[in-house]
Amino acid sequence: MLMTQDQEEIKIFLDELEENLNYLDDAIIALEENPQDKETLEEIFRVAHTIKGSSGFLGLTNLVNLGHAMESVFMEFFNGNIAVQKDVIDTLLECKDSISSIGKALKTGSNPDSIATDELIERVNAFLKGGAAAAAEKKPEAKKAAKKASSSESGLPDDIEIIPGSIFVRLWISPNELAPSIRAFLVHKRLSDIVEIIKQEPSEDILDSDEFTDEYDREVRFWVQADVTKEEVQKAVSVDLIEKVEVYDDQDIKTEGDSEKSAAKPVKKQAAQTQVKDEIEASDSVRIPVNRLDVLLNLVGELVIANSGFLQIQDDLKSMPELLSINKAVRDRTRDLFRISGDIQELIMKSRLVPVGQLFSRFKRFVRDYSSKTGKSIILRIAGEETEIDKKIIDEMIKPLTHIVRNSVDHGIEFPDERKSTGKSPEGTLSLEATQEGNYINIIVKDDGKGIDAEKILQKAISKGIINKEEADTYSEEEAIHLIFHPGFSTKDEVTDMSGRGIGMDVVKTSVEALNGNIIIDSKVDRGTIMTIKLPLTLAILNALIVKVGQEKFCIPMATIIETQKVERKNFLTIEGNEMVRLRDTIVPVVRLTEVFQIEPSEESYETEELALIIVDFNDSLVGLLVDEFLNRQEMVIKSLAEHFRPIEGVSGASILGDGNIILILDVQGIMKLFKDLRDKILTDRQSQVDTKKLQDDISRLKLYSAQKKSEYTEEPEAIPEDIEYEDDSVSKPKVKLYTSDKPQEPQEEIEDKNFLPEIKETKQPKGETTLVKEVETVGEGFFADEDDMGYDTFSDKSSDSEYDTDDLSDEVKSRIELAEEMQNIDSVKKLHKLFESDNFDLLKQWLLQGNSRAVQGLQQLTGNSAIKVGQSRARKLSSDKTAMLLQKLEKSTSGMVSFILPVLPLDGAIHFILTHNNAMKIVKHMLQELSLPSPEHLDLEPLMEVTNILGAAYTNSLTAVTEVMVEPGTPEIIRGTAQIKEMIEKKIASGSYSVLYIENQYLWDEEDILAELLILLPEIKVLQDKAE
Amino acid sequence: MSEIAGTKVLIVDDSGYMRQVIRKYLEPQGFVIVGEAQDGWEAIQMFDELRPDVVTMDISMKKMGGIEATKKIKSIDAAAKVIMVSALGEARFIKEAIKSGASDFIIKPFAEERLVSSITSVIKKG
Repeated sequence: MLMTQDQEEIKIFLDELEENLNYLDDAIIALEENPQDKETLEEIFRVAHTIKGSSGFLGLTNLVNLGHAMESVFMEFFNGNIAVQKDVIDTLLECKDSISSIGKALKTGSNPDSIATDELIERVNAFLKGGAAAAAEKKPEAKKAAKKASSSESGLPDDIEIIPGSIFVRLWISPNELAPSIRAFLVHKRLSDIVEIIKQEPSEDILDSDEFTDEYDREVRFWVQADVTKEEVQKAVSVDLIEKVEVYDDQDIKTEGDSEKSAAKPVKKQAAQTQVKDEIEASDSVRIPVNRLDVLLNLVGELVIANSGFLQIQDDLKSMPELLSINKAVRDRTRDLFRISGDIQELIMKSRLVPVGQLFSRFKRFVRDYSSKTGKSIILRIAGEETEIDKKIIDEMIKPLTHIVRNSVDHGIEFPDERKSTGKSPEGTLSLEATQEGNYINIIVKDDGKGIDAEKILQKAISKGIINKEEADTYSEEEAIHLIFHPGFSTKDEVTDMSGRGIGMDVVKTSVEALNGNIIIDSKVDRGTIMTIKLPLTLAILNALIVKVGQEKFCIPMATIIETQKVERKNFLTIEGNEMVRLRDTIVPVVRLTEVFQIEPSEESYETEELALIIVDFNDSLVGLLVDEFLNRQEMVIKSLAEHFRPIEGVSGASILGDGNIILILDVQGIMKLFKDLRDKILTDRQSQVDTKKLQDDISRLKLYSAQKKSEYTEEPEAIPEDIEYEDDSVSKPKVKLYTSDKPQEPQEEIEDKNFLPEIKETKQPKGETTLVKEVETVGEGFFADEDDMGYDTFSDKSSDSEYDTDDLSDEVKSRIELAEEMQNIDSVKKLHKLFESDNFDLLKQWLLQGNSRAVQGLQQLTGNSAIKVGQSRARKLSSDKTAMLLQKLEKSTSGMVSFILPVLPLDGAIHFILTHNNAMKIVKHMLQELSLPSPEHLDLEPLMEVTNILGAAYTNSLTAVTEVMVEPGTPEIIRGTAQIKEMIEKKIASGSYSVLYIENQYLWDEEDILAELLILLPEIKVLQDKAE
Repeated sequence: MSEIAGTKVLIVDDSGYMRQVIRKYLEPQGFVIVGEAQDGWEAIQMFDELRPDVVTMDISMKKMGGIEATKKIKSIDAAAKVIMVSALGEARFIKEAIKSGASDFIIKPFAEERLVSSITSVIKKG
């Protein structure tokens, strides 16, 4: 409900609001770092109060409410009733964002009331309530207790958030459900099939974790749109293994609700505040719209030009001695004019200056949010924030700087685990620094992340067709790294910034150069990256060198000039058509501006012994621009050509000389591009002499010079982290004798005679009979009589049955492939890597404990013997040689036993289930007994396949749960000996050795008798990383 | 009991043992096992022929897995009731199956009551 106001008034309100919001952003975060700072607290309170007041005056109720809510929280901070903690701070920042959105809506003319604030205010009020309660700090146990209290009782719990127009349902998942998250998923799907789900508690992540069963009492809550009846909702969620369902709609809530709940509604009384007038304080600053400053600046420019006009007149008058007295007068007045205009110029420049800290502090929030969202730990250091720079430059630099910071934080700084594994501290450091260097400012973004890999850049550039392999071979590391500035380099998916518009490193570079600055990268793999942006202090005025090329005058910005030299003609040489110059002890390529701009060289230039060379910096290497003459250095006022002309390559702007002539400002990037384009034409105009050895020498010296140059920008190298050694497990000899078997094991003979093999027929499905089992029984009669023999069983041939079409790839197979591709994702691979850490077995233990527990449960259930338990469980990390040896010995000792293999995907691991023939019979007997079926006379291996399946799944499931990486079992197969496993592991040996996690789990039938053993083999993750690369 | 007596069930699993288990658990309760399929492809054919009231579906089978079979069965009859039977480590597949229209899921190894209660619940509540 906006009263009709003067547009001007709204504008002032919005300007003030923006200022206040920027302050709040910084101040709230500062408060988080220094909760005791009373001064800041008071100031924040005042600002929130101001916002509230002014908004009230304009009738912006939601703004008023937000302001009031924030104000109250700050008050409670001040009184010490609420602790300054992350969750409150997060909510406060959200409030600030919400206010900002409302402001934007107002600015663009949309309805500010459309921004919903109720939910946010509810949350703030929740904090306030907590503060008002006895406990100043919210303890997690308190929350749990509250939840527990409400869970066991029926009825609407007190702490329920109420969403109007919704139906609220709470249900409990039965403790018999082994997979509560899947159960919740099922319920979620059934609900979403009939109605839109607004909210779900707890979230899916919590459902998947152990937290759910401990803290939440298996209670799940849904809020859905009230488009359906309560009965329909009830029916949808009432699946098996769901207990106690309660459904509430608005009516129920109203009758249940007490006055407390309505009091939670935000206070709407403060509609028309007229206090605003009292709160406008006299301040000692005046706000000036930026465009007014722009106009002033333009005028200053004119002033400078007029000034130099006077200097020109002075010069002219010098040559007329008869006018000496007037000359003197003119000179004096000119000097005064010069001085005054100089002062004005300086002051106006200064008034546009703004401390760079304004720009930097925006990133505090960004880094903070980003860190907490991704789990990376990043410290932001800011230095030189008082350094001042033209406001326009700051505005133009926001996007490029954001992109650079984003890169550092996204791709540069690694996750804490990876950092730890390379010897770095788990927190990454990002530093933003500004320093002044004469008329320039350096903005330096430094991170200690993983640096830019020149090799990778080269590869990428080749694959994008930016350069070919031959060119790539000639690139130095610095040149390679600077390829990221090439326009073709970023792809669409890397190139979106937060607002979705494209920005890549090429845009960063052009933005910086459009401001007459430049950007350099220094990066070392694993140590970090430093990006240095050099910008002129001011936009409008440029320090430039004026040069003559033919009959034309041009000027070149001093920022790009390294040095100027007059070089003797004899030091010029041409190699393969490329002109170079020997400069001290290096070689620098030469670019003649006369050729690039197709200007006739002046007569004199053919005759002089010494040629004028300007050494400039081009993408971190040196280039010599050849001109006819140096004229002078001058401060030029830049006038943009943009509105009047098409952009010209090589020219970045223009200026007016004192004599009224227009002079073009050259830009090195453009010149080099022109040069490259025209090179062919230029080459055919020259003679070429090929001197290959000299060429090699010269080129390498060129690179050397560049490298040396680069070192000016490098930081002191930090200590190189030592390679982390993995210790081989201390146990010297692997335990080979795994069982006490009933009979002494004798080496078995290969059963060659194929007549014993049952045939697998493709049978049509008869009613209810298990065909395959039958086959084995009939053919194998007498075969199994001798228990020491182990027959071949062609069940294992299932995998080689290749009769299905490739289109018909089962979902399973397709998904396995997907999984394997997913594993190429380095992040998930890293998490799994933790398992292999020699110094921290916690994860490993967690996994095995869970796996063992489930596996034993499964065995107990299948056989009906509740005395089954885990005997031994040991994990070792062995080198590949030791593993191979072990498997060999294993093969010998377990020959004749019943043995299954289950692949572990996508880790290329294996689970090996081994048991004696007798024990195998025992298990099957019991399994069939459970079904009241008679014991088989001969060993039926089929049920054991299921056992392998179930046991294996128990371990892969807990591995997934513990590492958060999707690990899944493949299909079980019967195998003879360990040859298959050995082959599987041996395939991994690419070059050099790696290690294997070797885990032995033993199951006991009762106190003493070993029932079976399950071995898990996981090759080390490094192998997978290689695969991913 | 009367509400479930005569309910027609199609068992789909590549393990003979598992098919035996399910049959053993269900027949005494009055369920009628109208067929057993060993892979997804057979499952679809048999479903079309026999139109059972409930299908118990294993997830990983050769030739055509349980997810795809479920999808195809649901496309034959949108009201078909399919219950996924799977080992614990296959969470992702189970969820996939649920998305494709499975009515419930059971984790192996399961008790008799669990199987019966699941089928009963699915029949009664859809």
